[in-house]
Amino acid sequence: MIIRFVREIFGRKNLSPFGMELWIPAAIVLIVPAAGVSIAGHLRGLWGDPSIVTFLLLFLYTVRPSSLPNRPRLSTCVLVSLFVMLPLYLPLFLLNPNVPVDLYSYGWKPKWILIAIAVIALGSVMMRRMAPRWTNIIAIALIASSVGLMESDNLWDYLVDPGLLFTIAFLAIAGSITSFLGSRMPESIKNLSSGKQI
Amino acid sequence: MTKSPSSTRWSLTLLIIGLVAAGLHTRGSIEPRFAASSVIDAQKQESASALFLPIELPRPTPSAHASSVAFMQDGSLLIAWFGGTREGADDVAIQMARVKDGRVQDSWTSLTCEQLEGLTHRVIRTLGNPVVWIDADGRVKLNVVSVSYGGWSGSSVNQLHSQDGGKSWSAAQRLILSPFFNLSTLVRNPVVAMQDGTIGLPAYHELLHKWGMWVRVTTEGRVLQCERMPSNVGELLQPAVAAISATDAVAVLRNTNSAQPVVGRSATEDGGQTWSLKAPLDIPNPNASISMIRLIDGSLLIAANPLVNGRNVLQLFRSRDSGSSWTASRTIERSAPGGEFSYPSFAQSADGLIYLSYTWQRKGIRLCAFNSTWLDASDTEKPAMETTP
Repeated sequence: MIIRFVREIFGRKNLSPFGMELWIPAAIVLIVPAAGVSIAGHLRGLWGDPSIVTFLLLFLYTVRPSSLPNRPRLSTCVLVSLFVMLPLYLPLFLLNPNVPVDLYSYGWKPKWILIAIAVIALGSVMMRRMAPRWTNIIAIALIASSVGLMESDNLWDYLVDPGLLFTIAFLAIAGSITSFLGSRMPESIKNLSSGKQI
Repeated sequence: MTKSPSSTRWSLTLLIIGLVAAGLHTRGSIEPRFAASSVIDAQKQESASALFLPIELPRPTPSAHASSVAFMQDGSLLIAWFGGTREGADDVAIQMARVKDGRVQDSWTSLTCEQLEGLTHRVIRTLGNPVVWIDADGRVKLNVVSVSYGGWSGSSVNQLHSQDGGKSWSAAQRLILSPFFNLSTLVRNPVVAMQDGTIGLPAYHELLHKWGMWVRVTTEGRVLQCERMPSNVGELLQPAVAAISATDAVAVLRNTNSAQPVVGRSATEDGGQTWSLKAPLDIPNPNASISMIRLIDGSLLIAANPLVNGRNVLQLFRSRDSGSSWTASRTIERSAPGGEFSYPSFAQSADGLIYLSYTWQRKGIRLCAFNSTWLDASDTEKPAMETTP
């Protein structure tokens, strides 16, 4: 079942759209007051604001799914989890505050983040692995940060948020488990799990 | 998905625009410098006779805590604190009072949860530590802790400004200082002015781990920088920072480590860009807030509860060597164990009078004023304030 689920997530090119009609009732629900504050206000109090990247993905998912970028590869999910998520969140929960690992602070002095993005983009072009739609989304997030569109002044908050990163981490873990199990599985069971007749 | 050369070119162009725009957006001076006030010859101060003046403040709520003081442009002292039925209750509001010529001129409820909800467009369950300050244009600014869900470890910091002396608030900016739902950032001690017009805001984190933070913010509430303060005596919080020169500042911190309960210390030599470990003070700290001010004669003054347990003694300590060594000065309050005289806050007027506010038994805020000569008296044990008002 896990194998099928992850294959479903990684394998499909296009997601079925909820359509534009989802946004109107969602907007109405969000402005309904509950205990004196709109539901949106409660959600903002609890979760804060999603990143620009998450917002654009949600927007494309519901409005124009044909423009959605490809789902990230397993290797990309693993790399993002290891080199973005862990350094961002681990210092908050596990590490001693004296350990000088605070990736989040670079978001206020984003020179190295911008250089990293430029290097990754350049490498993608040279390897002919450029993903234009992902590039567009990142570029829009960078432009949004330059005009201070969000409450945050930290570039990380325009690029990622906990919801997005936990989704990527889930994909990385589930994909890795599936890949590991798949490599150790007898061919007959693989065929069964993929729905092939034997 | 098909990748045409034109779409790749367009994406690259957009990315270059984004990179350049984000790169140009870096605000603030590259080399931050403290607007450290110049030292005035102490001779004039010390020639005055000793002066100590208690000032009665109103008690509009059953519970009051965490006061903050700042001088307004007209010379009056503005005091802010949070009060309600109890700490953490949903009726807690920011109370304010204005003192001039040793008397309370005015007092009012300045900010409620509902008002902050309207300004930030998000649910606010309770309010906490206020830090009041005045910007270069004379506007009253307020950094205040708010909690939407959970306890203090789920709190955030907001920055507001007022055009009418703190009576009403016209803008609120939430300071985003943590990558995980912006949880658990608080403020307690006064801001430090920077030469470029920004401010340094001492803050702290207290979810799971605790540490002090140095946050550089514009007067509009845009965050420019956030640095952690290291610790060598356990988990420290609530830094109180005093600038010594344009580049140097010292911080003293509340210590949560009961195994080594002494006041923590950190320092910077590059305008707050990095903070280094310093030996802790030999003053006990019972996990209680400390206030520090650099007086106009150049000496440093702290108010602290110098006990291993309890907050029933509030005493002053003075350093004339930029915080390396401290000598005990006057005792402000003393009572039997169980009493509480905590969360002190300092301000010094242009004529040298030092004002100290603090939480009195969690029932009210007390305020007193004294001069430098009074500090130097030899009797350090006798409390200056009556224990029962």
